[in-house]
Amino acid sequence: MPNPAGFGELGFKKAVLQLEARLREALPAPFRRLSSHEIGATYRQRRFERGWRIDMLCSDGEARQIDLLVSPAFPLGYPRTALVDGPGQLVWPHVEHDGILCLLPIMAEVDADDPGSVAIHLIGRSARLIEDLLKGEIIERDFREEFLTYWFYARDAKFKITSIVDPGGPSRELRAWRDKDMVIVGESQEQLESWLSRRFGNPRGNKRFHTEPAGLLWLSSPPLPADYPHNGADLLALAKKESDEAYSLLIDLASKAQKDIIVLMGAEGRGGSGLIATMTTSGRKVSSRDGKIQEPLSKGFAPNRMPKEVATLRTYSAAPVVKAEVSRADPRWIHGRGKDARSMRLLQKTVTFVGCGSVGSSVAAKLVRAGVGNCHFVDPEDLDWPNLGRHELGADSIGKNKALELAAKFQRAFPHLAIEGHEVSAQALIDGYRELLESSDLVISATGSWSAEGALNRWHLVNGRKKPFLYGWTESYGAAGHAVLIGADGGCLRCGIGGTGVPHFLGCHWPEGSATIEEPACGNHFTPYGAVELGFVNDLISETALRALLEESTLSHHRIWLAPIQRIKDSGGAITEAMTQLAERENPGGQIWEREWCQSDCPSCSFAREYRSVA
Amino acid sequence: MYDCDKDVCAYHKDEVTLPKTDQDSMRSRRDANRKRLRDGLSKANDPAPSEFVKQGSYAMKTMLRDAANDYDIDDGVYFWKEDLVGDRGAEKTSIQARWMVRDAIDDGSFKTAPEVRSNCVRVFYEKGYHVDVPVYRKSEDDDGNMVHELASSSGWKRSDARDVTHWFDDERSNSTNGTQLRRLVRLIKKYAKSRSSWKGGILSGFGITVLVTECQRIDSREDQALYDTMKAIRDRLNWNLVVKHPVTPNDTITSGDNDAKARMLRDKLTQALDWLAPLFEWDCTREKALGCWDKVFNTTYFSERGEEEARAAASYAAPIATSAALIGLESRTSASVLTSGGGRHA
Repeated sequence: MPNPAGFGELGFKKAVLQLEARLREALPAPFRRLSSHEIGATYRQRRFERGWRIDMLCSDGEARQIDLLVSPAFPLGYPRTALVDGPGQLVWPHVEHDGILCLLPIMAEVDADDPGSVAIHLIGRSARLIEDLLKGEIIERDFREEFLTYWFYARDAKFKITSIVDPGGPSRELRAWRDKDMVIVGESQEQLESWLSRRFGNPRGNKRFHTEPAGLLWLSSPPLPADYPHNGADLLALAKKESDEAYSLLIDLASKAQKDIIVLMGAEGRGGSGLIATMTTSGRKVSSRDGKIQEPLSKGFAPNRMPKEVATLRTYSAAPVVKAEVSRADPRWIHGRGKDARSMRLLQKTVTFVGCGSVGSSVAAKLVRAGVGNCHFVDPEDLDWPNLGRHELGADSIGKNKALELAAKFQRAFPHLAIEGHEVSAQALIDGYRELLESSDLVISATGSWSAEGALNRWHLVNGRKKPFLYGWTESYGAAGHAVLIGADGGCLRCGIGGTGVPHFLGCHWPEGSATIEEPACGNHFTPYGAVELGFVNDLISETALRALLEESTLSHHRIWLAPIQRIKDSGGAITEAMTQLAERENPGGQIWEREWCQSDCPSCSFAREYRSVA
Repeated sequence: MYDCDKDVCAYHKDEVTLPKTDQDSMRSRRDANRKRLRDGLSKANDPAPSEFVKQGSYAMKTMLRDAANDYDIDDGVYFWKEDLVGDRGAEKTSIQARWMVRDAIDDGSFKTAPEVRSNCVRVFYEKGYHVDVPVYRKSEDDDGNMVHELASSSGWKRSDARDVTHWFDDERSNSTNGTQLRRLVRLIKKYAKSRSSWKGGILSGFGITVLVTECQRIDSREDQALYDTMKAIRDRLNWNLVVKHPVTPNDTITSGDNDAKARMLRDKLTQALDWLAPLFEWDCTREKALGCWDKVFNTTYFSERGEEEARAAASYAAPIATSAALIGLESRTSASVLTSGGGRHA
């Protein structure tokens, strides 16, 4: 008997023994072991190794039986219980086709060291569920509140439908795109085309993605299993019962499509909005030999000349509809499963990332995953092998521009977002892409280059600091990270940084010597640290960026992350006096500190003042 | 000592001794192998065997039941010395005799071809077990005594498969309870095989057989006999780790006077005796005693027997449980199930 989960065959036997002893002690009445033949015959599609049957007298005076069943991995996982001779599929919620009861949510954990108590507890839960079902109050409620689960049990389509539709009312026309592997439903032709081209690239030549009419019936309450449509006529009746608009929608769709139609149905369940799908099949009569449609829906009529009434009758006929599961790929679902209020705000934001190196690429990756709707990546450099250890890109991008590659990678992965790459330097960005900077809700610069960031700072000052700029960098060895947000008020970047790019405030210094190592090449220096050390720094900058996008803060400020003290010592470094003062105690490192960014009448501030007075 | 006589006897019967079906299948496998060898020799115009003699634990009937069907049997083949000659009339060497047997057995039907080993020809079967065929030649010496020689890695070596079997039969005859002696051998071998991690590191089954015959403590109670014999062997090994071969003079089963495998058996026996210590406590319960034997043999067999008895003796409050009574169990065991999960997300 395989038991790869770690307890082994002996562990299984011991757990079974403990479970049986516990049943004997706890149950007020006898129980019996199930034979392997009984287990196999009753629970054919499951892998149960042992089972026990418990008789139970219910409050309605009827005797019922509960089976307790364990798999070969027991005591890992938990035993399942079943109502013997249950009512069949979709008559009672939480009772599967073979009587297995759904008692625990997916995240539930059980004590594998006490399998007897777990089993007893589940028997108690099963009895309570059966009594609740007998009273009847939970039947309709749970079928409606958890309708996605019960639709899933009733589904008969072999495919899933992917939806990028905003899951909410009213009932409306949608568009669908199909190929042999997938069906995607969107709000409009434009939305679908945009999504598809971002996901799969543009079609060749002048070709376009062909889409077809589809519909969304937004239901005032989720359907009960008894209402699930079996054929086209049922579907039309469901729409008619819902509202005149829903009914008209289906009639219009039949007339427009003149072929099989995908109809999503949506409603609010207990956990939020849910989508399910049906597809009519009356137009799918194909000959067995050549696969061509033998009797198209429009048979007997010129193209698009079929009367509405005839199209309705033919589309919503007695031919069955297939029921399909829907995978939601809409932004609200992807970024927070419909429950993160920030996601819709972030979706409206535009962020420009200047510098797509080890810091910039990782910060960009985090903000894309957070759901920033419009991202622009700017970098003039190509990816090289030594970059790989701490970059979001890999070997397949070697020799290619970092910004373009990063944009292409994330655009394919997040087709609901708009991501663009620009192979230009910071200076060229200022000169040629002013609209980009002006339209950005946040500019994040992670170039590590003072000439680039000094220039960005001057542009920011000259243009009135309308939107915040965030500058992020790491100190040598990843020993400290800095995120400086320059808002409308307070110091500019230059106020806290010297003329050659050295910040006035440093977390660490290296008294024993240089903090950089020389490559065997003229002028090439680097510091050896990896993605792990850099991860804290990137998180600091990413979190500062997220706060800047979601909170209204106009004052420039500085956040510093300092590595654990031992790591700094190991690299030959020490904490600066300024950092010690900021921490106000013996500094253990591994923490974030926040301070106001200093304000002074710096050369850049003077330059901007003069520039603006002349302008 | 808490009395688990019946339980140890039942364990021996149900889990240790070889079931009839396995005995039958082994016999038929052995016979098929003998026929294959005879046919192969005849086909190659090689001499016919004079006899076959089963040997080892298979002959001594001390083989153990194995859930994975991992049975290895030894079946010696004997030839007349004068028949074992080459084309030019010279007598076959030890290796030539083993090659002759190997070639005769290999009729092309084996997934893994039979191999010539240092002291036998090994035939592999698909399910994992193997049959070892030691090759012997026999002749009469000047005094008319029969001489048997094994085809070994060091040439023809005086040995007879029957000697060990005869020795064991004699030991059984001399014992006050030869049947219990054989059961003790099986039980202690079973203990030595109870953990897969001990495999290869602990003294061989033959070594254990010799030690059991030497240290046997026959008793009317099976559990007492087993405990006392285990203790006697442990004490004997504490004193001397050398186990002499019972029929080959000056030969030992162990290697040197600090054999690692004998040492491991000694240590594991000490461990088992520790596990069984609660049996001697005045307040030892049946449940506790059965748990001790389970621990020794790394099984749940003993506790399951106890559970069966408890179930048979159980008296229940009602012929059928009410749903309300079952619902009442839920709150008493709620600490074992956490519906909201452990709060660790990844």
